[in-house]
Amino acid sequence: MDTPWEQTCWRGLTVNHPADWEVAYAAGTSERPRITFSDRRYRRLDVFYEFIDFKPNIELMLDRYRREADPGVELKPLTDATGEWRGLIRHEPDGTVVHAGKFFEQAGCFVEAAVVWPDQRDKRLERDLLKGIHPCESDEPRRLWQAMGLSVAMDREYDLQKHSSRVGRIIWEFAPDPRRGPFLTVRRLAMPQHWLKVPLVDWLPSQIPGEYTEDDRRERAFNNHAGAEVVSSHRGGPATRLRRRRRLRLDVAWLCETEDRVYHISYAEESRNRSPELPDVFEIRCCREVHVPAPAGEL
Amino acid sequence: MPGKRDKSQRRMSAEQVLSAVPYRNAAMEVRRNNDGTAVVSVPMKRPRWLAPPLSWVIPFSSHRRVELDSVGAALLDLCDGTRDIEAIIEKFAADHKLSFREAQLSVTRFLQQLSQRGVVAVVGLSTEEAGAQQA
Repeated sequence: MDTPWEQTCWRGLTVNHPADWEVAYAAGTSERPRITFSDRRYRRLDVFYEFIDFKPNIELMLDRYRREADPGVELKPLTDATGEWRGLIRHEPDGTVVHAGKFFEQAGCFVEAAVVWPDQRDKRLERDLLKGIHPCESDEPRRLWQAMGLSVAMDREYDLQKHSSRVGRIIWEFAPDPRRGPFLTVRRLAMPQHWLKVPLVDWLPSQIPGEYTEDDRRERAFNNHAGAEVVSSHRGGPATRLRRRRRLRLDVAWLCETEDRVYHISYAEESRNRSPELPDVFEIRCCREVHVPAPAGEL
Repeated sequence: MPGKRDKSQRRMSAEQVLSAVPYRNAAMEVRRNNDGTAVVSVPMKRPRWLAPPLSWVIPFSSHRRVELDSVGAALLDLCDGTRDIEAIIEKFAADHKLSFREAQLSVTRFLQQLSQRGVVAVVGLSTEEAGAQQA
């Protein structure tokens, strides 16, 4: 493998892929699990997967696919795949698409992958790609979410409820229950030298919603970086007050110089406790390498 | 899974966008500030319909002012007619430690806005295509 590789973990699936293939689409909680990678010009890898409690008949699925395919399309069986991947090679005038499927019995996960080769098919890369697609290990109390430059190891009880990827701004929101919380939001913000004009400890209160009252503000180290922490609270709605609780919020931010990104974590819960704490099983892995693109001539 | 038609369209569009070359409007004036920001003044053509008596009540400015922050001003400097969009994205990504996709989204969106305001003209790409690409 000459080019650097990157590992993406999304909703229980791990995909190892060339670092210059970036996530173009990642399905949210209400959709069928899917993740799509593209390089600069083309969509390169589409992975659909599902956790099911029966073993699918992949040969039957392939037969059906062959029967339903356009008669003009050239289909060949995939014979040189690694492991137990079964599939078809679809030749088209403008490229080749390799459709492969595999059922991971231990995890009960059925994965369908479509590898797109706009030019010549690279069998070695294809084998490495398929070998690098597998369900995440499930015996740990935490689940790894790693994509779009962000890497979060999170308690399994928390699911990713919302995610957005705007320009230089990745936001993931986790919660065990989408209606009640507690809510943990992770933001990774690029180009801080252009927008961060004040120290983090002064910037962080501006990120707190207006209805919250700042209770405490201090400098705090996080992930071996100097950062800031703000605790704020809100008396909550009538139902919250009836339960003699308050809405508490903890905001933590730090600047990772290696990545040149500001990380901002906010944790909000309804509690009687006066000092909110981040979940025990929660880790953000910063200081990871940012894959700055090489000029086209050097690719 | 990508269909045949879908894939070929996508390929053409992405290639066209990356190989298009943005040119600065030669008639505009750029005033640079010490903090790296810039103010661009683009001459506007008076519309035909804006003749008396309409022009007596509807104000018309002969120039459109576009204010750019330091990042925008640096990006405008890269649009010198010698670099295609792909090269601009690479330079922007390297300068700001961004991945190609992050830089691509910012640069294409910014160029689309500049071309709509008449600051740059992207040769090899229509405004609709620039908008479709960033979507």
